[in-house]
Amino acid sequence: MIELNIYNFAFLLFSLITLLSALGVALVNSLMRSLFLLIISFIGVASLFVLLSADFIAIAQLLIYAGSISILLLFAVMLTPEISINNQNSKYFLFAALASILFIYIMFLFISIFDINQLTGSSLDKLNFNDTIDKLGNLLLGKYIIAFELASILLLFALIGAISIVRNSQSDFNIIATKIKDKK
Amino acid sequence: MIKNFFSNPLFIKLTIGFATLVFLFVGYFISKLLFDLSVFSEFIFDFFLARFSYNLAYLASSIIGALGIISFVGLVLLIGSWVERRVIARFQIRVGPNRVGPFGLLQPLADAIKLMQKEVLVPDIADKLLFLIPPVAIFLPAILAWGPIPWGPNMSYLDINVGILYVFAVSSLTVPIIFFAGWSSMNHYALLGSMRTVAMMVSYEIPVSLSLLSVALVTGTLNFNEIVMWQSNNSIWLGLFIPFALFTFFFASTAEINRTPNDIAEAESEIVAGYHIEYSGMKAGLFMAVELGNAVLLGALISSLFLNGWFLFGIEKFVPPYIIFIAKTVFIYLLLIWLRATFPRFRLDQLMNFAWKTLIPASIIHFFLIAIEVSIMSNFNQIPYLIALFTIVNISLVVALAYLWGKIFHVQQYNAANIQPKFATSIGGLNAMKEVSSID
Repeated sequence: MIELNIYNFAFLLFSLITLLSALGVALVNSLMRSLFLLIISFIGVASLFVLLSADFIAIAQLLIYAGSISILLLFAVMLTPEISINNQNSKYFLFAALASILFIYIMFLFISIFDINQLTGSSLDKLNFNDTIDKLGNLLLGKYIIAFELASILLLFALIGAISIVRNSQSDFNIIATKIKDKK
Repeated sequence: MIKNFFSNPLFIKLTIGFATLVFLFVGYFISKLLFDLSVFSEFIFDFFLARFSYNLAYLASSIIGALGIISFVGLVLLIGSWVERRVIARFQIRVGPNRVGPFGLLQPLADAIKLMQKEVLVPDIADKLLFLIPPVAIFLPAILAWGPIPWGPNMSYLDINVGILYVFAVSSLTVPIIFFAGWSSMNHYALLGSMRTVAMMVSYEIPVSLSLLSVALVTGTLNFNEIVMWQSNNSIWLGLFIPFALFTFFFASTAEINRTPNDIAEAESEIVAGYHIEYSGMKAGLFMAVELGNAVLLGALISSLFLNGWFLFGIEKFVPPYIIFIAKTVFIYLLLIWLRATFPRFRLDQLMNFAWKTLIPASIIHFFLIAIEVSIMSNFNQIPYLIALFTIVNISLVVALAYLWGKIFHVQQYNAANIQPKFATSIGGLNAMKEVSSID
């Protein structure tokens, strides 16, 4: 059973916020509302990282997911037609339910192995490490430099690829311009 | 008879002089007493630790600190709008609000009461939930970002090692909130305004992050306290050492917080009022209040990152350091008001072109330059001489760039004959200004 100190109380509160808003993302009809709940869920995950005293990861979660990925999703939602019409239930409801029940079962198997009191902030507090950003920087630019550089090259390829797919050639612009002129 | 005596100019001057002396005398003792405000939170921490548990002591002292910050922000929100209107009125040779209370000081309270009395109109087709959340939620980033600000030695609320990243991450949460405010209004103007605000904020986050990256590179830390201490240890202000980063941060942040010259979020002539067109009464007032609070927050950030925080040539030993810090913050805020009174608004395409085609490449090149300088500094021992040398190099580079900029765009050279305010003097503008000051 979980002992009730301030860390575990905060852990339960933040995980409740995260899980409830994540459930709302799936259940709410309006796409915009589910996006809003998704941002709240991201912030909840960031606060769980704060409880684990992983300051850099928490800030990165806030910066990348709540601040940037959400904007990307906003623009994606804006480009989907008929957002104001309520989403209908999926045809694959049964399969999705079975898969999620299986997933929850596997998660419970894993959770039951660990003792939750060893994984919350109170036990990490005894280890007394207060600075992760130095160690992370040293590891990323020292031991794992090749993986870091490969990831950055992959991101660069993705960026250039996206631009080259989206970019209209000059002839397309000319065609559009002539069409507008014809209309006038 | 009595009225004449009290309106005697000699009497008024004597009274003012006496009041100043009393103020200085009292202020000296108060400043001795309140030199370090962290004493109070430590006292409360010890008080609770002796009687109750550690957790409760931590909670109590953190609540006291948060209340201190929130009361400062609240004071700023109360007085700030009055200061802004009065100062802009002086710039434009008019009076400004002077009827409610002494010098019009109660004008913000009257405004707030008026706004609260107004009916809150919610559009019929609006998404009610998402419509009502943003005016409240936009306060969260604006107040959370005050956390790691160093008010003085031993006086920062969140002394975390990821301070700069924290402020940047928290302030980036404003973007989705503004978008939800615009989208849920179900109004074309609101949606267009919010879309262009989001586009502008997203593109100006890159120069802000690049300028902050060069600050982190020079000082070797992301902690606000350590950045301030680095500046005082090397006896240089970072604003002098990397002036281009200061300019980038200042200009891009005005776009982030929707201040003139970059306040295209509320371009009345193009889109009616931007993302908050459908908000009425106090809900619109909350958006305005957040803009004001963000301007003061920008002042606090600049004064701690670039203007050496609470240090001011040794005066910090006699004056409470947080007073110096607040004075620097207010100075930057007055600079923002000056910009607002002087400059017209940029167009959207001008602003986006400037961000993507000029500011981002220039700040990337500047970042590489700073990296080279820092690597030279870390390989040699004469760091004070190198810092002086690089300060001169950086400042001259910025001056040369500004000169080239003027050459390329054919900016008219400074000519005193063109700029003299003939029109104002001939019409009696300066005399009118004298009458303005006599009205109070």
